[in-house]
Amino acid sequence: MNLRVRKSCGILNAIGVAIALVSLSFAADKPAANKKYQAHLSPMPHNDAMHPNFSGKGNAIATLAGDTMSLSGAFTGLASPATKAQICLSLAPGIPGKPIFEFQVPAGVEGKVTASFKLDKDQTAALQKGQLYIQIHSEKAPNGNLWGWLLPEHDIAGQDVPQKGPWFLPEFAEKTK
Amino acid sequence: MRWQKTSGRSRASLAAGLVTAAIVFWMAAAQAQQAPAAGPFSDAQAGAGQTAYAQNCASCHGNSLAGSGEAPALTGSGFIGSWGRRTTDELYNQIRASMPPDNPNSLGADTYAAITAFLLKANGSQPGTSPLTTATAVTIGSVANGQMPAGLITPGRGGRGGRGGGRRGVNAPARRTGLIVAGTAKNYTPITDDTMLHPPDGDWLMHYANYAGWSNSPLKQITPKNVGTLQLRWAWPLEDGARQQITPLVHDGVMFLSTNITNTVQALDARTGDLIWENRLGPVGALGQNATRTMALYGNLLFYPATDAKLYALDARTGKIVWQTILSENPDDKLGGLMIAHGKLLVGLTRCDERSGHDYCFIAGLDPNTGKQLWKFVTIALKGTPGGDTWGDLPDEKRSGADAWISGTYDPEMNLTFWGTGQAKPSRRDERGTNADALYSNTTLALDPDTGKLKWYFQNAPGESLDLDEVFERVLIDHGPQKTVMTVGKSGLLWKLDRTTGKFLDVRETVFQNVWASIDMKTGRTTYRSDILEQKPGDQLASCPSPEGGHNWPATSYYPADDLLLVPLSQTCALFGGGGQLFYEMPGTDGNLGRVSAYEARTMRPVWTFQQRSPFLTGVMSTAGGVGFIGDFNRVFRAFDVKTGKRLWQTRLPTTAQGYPVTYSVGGEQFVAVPTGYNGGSPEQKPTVMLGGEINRPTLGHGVFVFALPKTGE
Repeated sequence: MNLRVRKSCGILNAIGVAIALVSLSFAADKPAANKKYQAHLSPMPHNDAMHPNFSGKGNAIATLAGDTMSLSGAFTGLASPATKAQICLSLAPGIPGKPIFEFQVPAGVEGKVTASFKLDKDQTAALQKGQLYIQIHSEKAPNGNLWGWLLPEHDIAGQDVPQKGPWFLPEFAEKTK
Repeated sequence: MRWQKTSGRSRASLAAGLVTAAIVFWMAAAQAQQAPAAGPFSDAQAGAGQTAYAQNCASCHGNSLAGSGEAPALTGSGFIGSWGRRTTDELYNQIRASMPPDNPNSLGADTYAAITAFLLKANGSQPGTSPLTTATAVTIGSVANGQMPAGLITPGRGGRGGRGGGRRGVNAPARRTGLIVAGTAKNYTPITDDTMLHPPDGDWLMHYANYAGWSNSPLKQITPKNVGTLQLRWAWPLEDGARQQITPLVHDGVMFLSTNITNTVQALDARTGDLIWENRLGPVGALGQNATRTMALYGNLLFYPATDAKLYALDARTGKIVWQTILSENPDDKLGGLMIAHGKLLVGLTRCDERSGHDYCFIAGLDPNTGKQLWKFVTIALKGTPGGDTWGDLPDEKRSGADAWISGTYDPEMNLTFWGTGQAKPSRRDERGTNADALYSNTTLALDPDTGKLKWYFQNAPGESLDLDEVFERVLIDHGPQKTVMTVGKSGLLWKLDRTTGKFLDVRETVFQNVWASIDMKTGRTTYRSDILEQKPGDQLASCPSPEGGHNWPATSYYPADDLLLVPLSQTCALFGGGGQLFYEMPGTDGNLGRVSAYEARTMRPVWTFQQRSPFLTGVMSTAGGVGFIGDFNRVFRAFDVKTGKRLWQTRLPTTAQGYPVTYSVGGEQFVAVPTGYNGGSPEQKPTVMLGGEINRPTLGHGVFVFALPKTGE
């Protein structure tokens, strides 16, 4: 799928959105040595009343080659058709931020997406620090339905496959002495 | 000067106009402040809503709508800060979709509309002529100012919505109270100080099995090799409703259980499940929705903290009441932690959230034989007392919180008891009115159990602002000469302190957190993100973990053979404030809301972890046999290898496995018991928002389920 990528300046209201299952996989069109990032897409902040419109989930992988970030993945389970997607910049994982790129997604409750972006120096640094996230909007969650932070590629511990330590855990606090 | 160019008449006219405008403006402002525009509801509707509120809501949100625990205040600046910019239909829909917590959307549209109308009135909105409808969409801030009309609420013990007014109380069938099943536990031996110091291997004498808070048993009949053959030996139903998060206590082959919906205490034969005696103490009803997590045993007495803040001492052999005492006259106060230390009965007060005429939370020492109060340590530092200057200029009457809702632990050599406290109230700094540290909230306290004297303290989360308690179990672990106390709070930080001095030793993040921007590794001092420090009313503050807590009341277990702390963890985030709480998955968890992680206590080194979609709703219990046990939201109770985390066995229960699993032995046979329950408070309610329609649990099914290995020949 060929996606149009453009800068977006609107303020993202990161609060209400619908849920869906997304599975983005990043187009790994660069050498394996390029650094990879992964995102689990899940419903944006919501309460019981908002819950019916915030369904879905997905996954995505991004590959950084030089100044180009390529991503691909898929989503599924939205309560209403997707309308658009954004790459957003935040202070840290879990903190709503603002959009820096906007791109198209299939207008369905599930779909696959690919996109690539030229990152500037600050955006590259932000990616490496886990400050970029993907956000997918839908008709019933126009301010954002799914989101997921792009974090360095890591193993996921499951319930039947305990993971030996140390395991992946993004660190936010600066430890001072 | 421009004035000099103006004629006297014009000046007078202009001045008069300005004065008139100022008066009109002042009157309008005063009217807006003191008497908001008529609300979109009728007085009769609000009256019906007040009745419905008393029956369905007051048990959590309080008689005065002041909120309590995770139930937010429904009046005042906090409410207006959260809801002022939103509309009445949003409030209606939020209440309908989420309340009551254990059965949302169950009251009918008219009742929800009436409750919404009552909340508007309770926030200063004037009744109009037409009732509120589900379609009414008026901006709340345009009709309400957060000021409750005088006389709207009748305060006091037993008042509307107070004791006796709970939802369950109204709907629950009237039942006989008293000792309705009489019997005697045979061969029951008195529990002495020595028994408490060296619990028999086959007993589970106290909340965490031993004074050090290990939730670990020396029993080793059940092993990783044979645990897969565990069978249900017996089960005992408990009445459904309220917050059932109990610890079965076992001594001399007798199991003691409680049911807090009816405040019933029972003794059963721990081998067969036969009932020995039953005392229905009452009152019947949810009554504040405070969980009963543990009772306590000492001598021939069994101590039960009833939901009306009344503490009972029963004869453990017969169930007869020996003494009873009321710890607080405040209708919203509840009893929290409960334990025996050095021959004293220690009890913590919680839900002390009322802003006027309230008791402050405290930890008290009582004579276990009489119930006489010997001392009281108030967990709020008041003006003129040590730490009293840590609340800024906030007057004493506005200092609140620091609930002692979790039992402490005890070091007999030091003769010190270690307790945690909850956050200051209201939870957010902007609502609390001070950015100061607010001692002794979210603090580790080391107290002399004989006098209540404070030996030292360490404030784990100064000036906490996101409903992230640091109140949970204090686990006492020695490594050679180093004596430590370790604990995990809601923000997920695993703390290690020197328990002789309270000196900070180490800290580690157990789940992802983004609220603490820095941690001073020399002092342990935590500092919030700047937007949390600079919060304003109505701000939505991102919080990972959410108020569900990275860790909550499900307790950690310590497995001494391998020096492992086995920590149950939760992984959700929330936008906190500005209209309630909005929940989302924690980044980096792949949608797994529950996690169990093992850490080597000496080094804090992570050893293993497993996680799953369903949150865990029991503490971890470990045994010398090398088996750990934990239960979850999705009704699964599992055994795992404590050395690796590998799942060894599991079974499915009627509803959520909730409370504290225990193990004991009778007649040479090891048993494992796990309670079930439905309303688990924050760690159960918060993730329910995200699991709606995905994991469906029966609201019934409270009980205790007891497992053992097959008998020889089976």
